[in-house]
Amino acid sequence: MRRRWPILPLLPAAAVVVVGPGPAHAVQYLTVEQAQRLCFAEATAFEPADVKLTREQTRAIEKDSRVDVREATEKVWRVLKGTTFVGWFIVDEVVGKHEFITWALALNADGAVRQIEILDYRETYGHEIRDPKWREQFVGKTHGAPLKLDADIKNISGATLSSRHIAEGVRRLLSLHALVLKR
Amino acid sequence: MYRRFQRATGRTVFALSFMLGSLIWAEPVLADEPLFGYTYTADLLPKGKWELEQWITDREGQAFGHYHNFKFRTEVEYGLTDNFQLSGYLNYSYLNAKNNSVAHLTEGLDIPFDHDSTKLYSAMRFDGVSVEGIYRVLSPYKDPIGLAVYLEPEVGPREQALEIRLILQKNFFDDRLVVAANAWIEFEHEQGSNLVTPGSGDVPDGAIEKATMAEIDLGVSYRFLPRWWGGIEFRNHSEFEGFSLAYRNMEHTAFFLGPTIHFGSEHWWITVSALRQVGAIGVSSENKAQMRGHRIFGDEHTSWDGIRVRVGYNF
Repeated sequence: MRRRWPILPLLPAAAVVVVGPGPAHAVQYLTVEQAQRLCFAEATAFEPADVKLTREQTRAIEKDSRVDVREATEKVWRVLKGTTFVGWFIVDEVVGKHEFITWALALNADGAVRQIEILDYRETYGHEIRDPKWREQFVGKTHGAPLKLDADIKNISGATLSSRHIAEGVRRLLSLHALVLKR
Repeated sequence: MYRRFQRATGRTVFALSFMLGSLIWAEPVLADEPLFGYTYTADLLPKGKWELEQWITDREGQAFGHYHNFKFRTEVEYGLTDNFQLSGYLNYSYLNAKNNSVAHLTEGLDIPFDHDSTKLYSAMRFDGVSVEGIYRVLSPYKDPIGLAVYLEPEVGPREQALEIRLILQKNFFDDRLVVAANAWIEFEHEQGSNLVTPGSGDVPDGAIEKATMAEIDLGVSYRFLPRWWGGIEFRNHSEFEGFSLAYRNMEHTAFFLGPTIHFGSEHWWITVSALRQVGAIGVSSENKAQMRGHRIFGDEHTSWDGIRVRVGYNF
């Protein structure tokens, strides 16, 4: 007896499975240079000062921030105005729902958050993390701040994971500053 | 008349499926993404967002012969609030079986009571409509554990059912490892099939039967690459006679295990899982009679139960 299969209804889904999914949209909002200029308009130089963390430093940051350190190297710049040190600029990645979110943290010379910028965001919801009002919550935060959703940081509907990871990222980099950069 | 209905239903299924496929193909473009085929997580759509989802499940293989029971579900989801999601389902199926039972007859799971068990059965059918509501009590991203409750009533020409589900989720490693567990109960009224217990001399009469299902689902999935998740799922499904969970009413319990893979892009996603029946215990004499080796068939399960593909598009 010939078997009859419901081939036609399955074709569209089969096409997706066999051919494979297309590339996700990679939305780059800012380049590193653009973000640097946005954060430090008065700067005259950005001196690369990448940090390769030792195992002990990694452990200390994880213990202090209560956030895992995924990358041993942090992309850091010392920001100068003339010969005056005005702050730190750090480019970092945190886990988004589908992809990594590339973002930048600008710190004043005293280690307080000056600004955060989102460089890449590829998620379905939660583009509000680029909203200046949401990002303003971080301004002035210093090492030791809770940086916790629904405490001192507002959640973004549909992007709880992304907003929590950005807040944790800020906490982790403030620990990096306090335990490594400042010394 | 019935054949015309079958042809028309087939055309409708194709049209719906084609439209969904075209939509996906046109633009590779997501929140309530299922990482698993069977296990639900506490992720819901945000308020005001829509999702269109197509389910295709092949419940494949029984004791002998061949058996393909394709279950289709076309679902529309909407986020009423950030913590409450409502869905509507259109449920339909295509069944093709021959000599599938332990008695080498065309009988059992979803085969109508008046079908001649010596002949091939092949038909497309409308199974019913259902509504699903999921309320999230705790978020896996903000609270120590994610917790949601789920209710799904279903109405159809051969079956009416009510499913209640408890959903737990715990994330690890920056939310890249997700562990989910569900416990659910379903009460159903269902028309009997043409299955006859060998040697009983019973005559199928299509009587409406009451049954209670109880199931525990466990899933673990890890994001091994950006956009890609892979994991494993386990199900333990038990069935009871009447509306009861008492052991004296238990008919069987069966175990399923298999891999699951998920891809999520910016606006669309796909999840594929393949669960194999790895063992079963027949408790009632009727169910014991439908065992072959360590697996149960009859009106209950298939060897692959099942191979499931879910694709979704977020608006």
